[in-house]
Amino acid sequence: MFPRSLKKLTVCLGVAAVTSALGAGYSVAAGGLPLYGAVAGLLIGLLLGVFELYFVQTPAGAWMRRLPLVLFIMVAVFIWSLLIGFSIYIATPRLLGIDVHPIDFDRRDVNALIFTLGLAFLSMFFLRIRSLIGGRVLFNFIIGRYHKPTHDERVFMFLDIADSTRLSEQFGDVKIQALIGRFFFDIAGPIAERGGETYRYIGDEVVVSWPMENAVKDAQCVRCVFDVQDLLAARSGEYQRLFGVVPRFRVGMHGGPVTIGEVGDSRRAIVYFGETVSRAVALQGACKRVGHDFLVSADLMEKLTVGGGVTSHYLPALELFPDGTTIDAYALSRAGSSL
Amino acid sequence: MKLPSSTTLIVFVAAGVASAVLGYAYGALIGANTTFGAVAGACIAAPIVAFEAFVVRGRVGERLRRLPVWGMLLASSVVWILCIAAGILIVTPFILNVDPYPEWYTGSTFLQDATFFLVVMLLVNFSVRIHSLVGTRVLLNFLFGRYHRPMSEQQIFMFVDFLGARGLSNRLGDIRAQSLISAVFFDIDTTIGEFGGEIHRYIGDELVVTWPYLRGTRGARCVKCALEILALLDRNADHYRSVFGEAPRLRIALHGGPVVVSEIGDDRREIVYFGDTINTTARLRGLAKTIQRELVISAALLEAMGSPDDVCTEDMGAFELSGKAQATRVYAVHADSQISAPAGT
Repeated sequence: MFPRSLKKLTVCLGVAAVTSALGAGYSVAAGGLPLYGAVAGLLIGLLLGVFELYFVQTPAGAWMRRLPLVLFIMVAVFIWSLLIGFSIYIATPRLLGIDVHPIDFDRRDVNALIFTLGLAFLSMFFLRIRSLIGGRVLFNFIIGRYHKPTHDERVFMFLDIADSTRLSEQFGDVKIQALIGRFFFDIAGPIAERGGETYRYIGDEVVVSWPMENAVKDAQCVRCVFDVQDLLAARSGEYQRLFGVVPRFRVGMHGGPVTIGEVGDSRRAIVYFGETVSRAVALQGACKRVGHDFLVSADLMEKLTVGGGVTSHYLPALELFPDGTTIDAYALSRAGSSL
Repeated sequence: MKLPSSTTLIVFVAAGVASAVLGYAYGALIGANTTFGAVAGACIAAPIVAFEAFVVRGRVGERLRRLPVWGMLLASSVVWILCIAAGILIVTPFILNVDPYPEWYTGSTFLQDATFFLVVMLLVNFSVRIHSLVGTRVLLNFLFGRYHRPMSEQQIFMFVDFLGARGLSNRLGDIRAQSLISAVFFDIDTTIGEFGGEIHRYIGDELVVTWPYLRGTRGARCVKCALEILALLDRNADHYRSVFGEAPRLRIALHGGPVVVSEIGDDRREIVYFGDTINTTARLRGLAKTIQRELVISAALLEAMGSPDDVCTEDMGAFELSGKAQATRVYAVHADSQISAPAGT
């Protein structure tokens, strides 16, 4: 997709600009050649950026991302160190036509290397921490955006594995959890491509949310579900081979006003709260009862233009809550698909 | 002030040693006195850790902890900077009986040294604030890949949620209801930590706490924790009433058993629990509302703790909870004195 690759390139160049400035700044502070620092910084930023975005974060780097964190860090540290050493001691002198004699290594060189490696590993640390928390959550948490509860318009998707209880009785808890882990790992890509923010995982369920405008634009929230379905179809052979079963999933989707707030003291989190969330949960719960796999509230459907190839089936006044509250919904599917 | 726990002491010593090593390395790197660096490192770390452990985490620090992260970062940084300056300029020279920056010494300036320690401290400070978003145990488990492959473990689950949350937001409005929920979860956080419980996550108006099975059953800590939460809410009732116009009531369910624990996700990762034990706990919490008891516990978990002192149990009968054929026997738990007063009436 063009906009996404453009974004990657922008990030790479941005990082390179920052590291180049840092390199120049360091050279000035250490009494060296500013140009040398700037070029070395630029190269380091570019190489590491390209490695992270065009290898680690792509399907080619999936084996690396599946490693336990401590192994992942060790592998990444090794490769980063090679790239950094190459930039400082080989590429930059060549580019600038300066001779560097490795034998003359003095304390200044050691300092430069420590400075660079230190910064690189800090960035790596933050990249990994970010994945535990979610980039947007981390940012909002730091600036204290939801420190006092606020309103927002968001779309929520609750996606769970159909019949996971029955499956785990059949195949065993641990095996099915491995299947769920694999499935959620695989679908992270399509979700991110459609602008969805994975809010959290609850057992066999994933909660994804979008700001209203992002979700509505090109009906991205609905497209996301079909993308996940396509992915599952494409990899069904692999699932069959690894787990003996291809999972099916059910989705409930609804959008509207939510309250967002920070909770907790020693353990903190940003939580969504309100009727909109309960309705999305209830719609997902209703999937099984009404015999459909993908339910979208009528309120949300009014805002979406889903386009051709998608069939919608109107389900008026679904009773979703014990107090008798009803919701109008649509069951969505694509022509010729099982969803 | 309570006596420092062994964990606090370990952290205290570890931080002191780490800083001493860091100071030593820094001294060696800039070609200065390594002894000075090591002593300065320890002298800077000691008051900072003491400040974090006893002031920030203590009663006095409550006001500080209610600040947004950037506010807390700013406030604690001021204290940290003072500790750094005092460590380099006053305490270390006094201990080693030397002049901090004698005229002949040109290796570094106070500004450079302070900047170094400040950058390190800011990073540590930032990490300390951020780690509350993830949880210490989760962070360590992630780092060492403990649940990288799904694992079966015995865990206790405590589900806490508000009685009538939907009514709460109808009466107070979404924003004020959320403020009330935040206030209650903030207030009970310390209690949960004191009883060794770990906050797994918040889901709307609901809180999920876990204990490793043995840690939670020892001394009936999970039950005592739940009772203390309810007591705390009673003690704070007037406060909530004056701020929000009403005192919230909670429902708590306790159950334990085998769960599968696993790391999940790709660019967004989490550790999740999976299994029948969790579903049963969730249904137990629903049951607490139906049978109008504040705290319910499964017979299996209660029996694993023997008969805990100071609590009264009430046999509520057997219920169909696990989605499997066999029924689960359920007990309601009350603090010693109030057995005859059914909760919520």
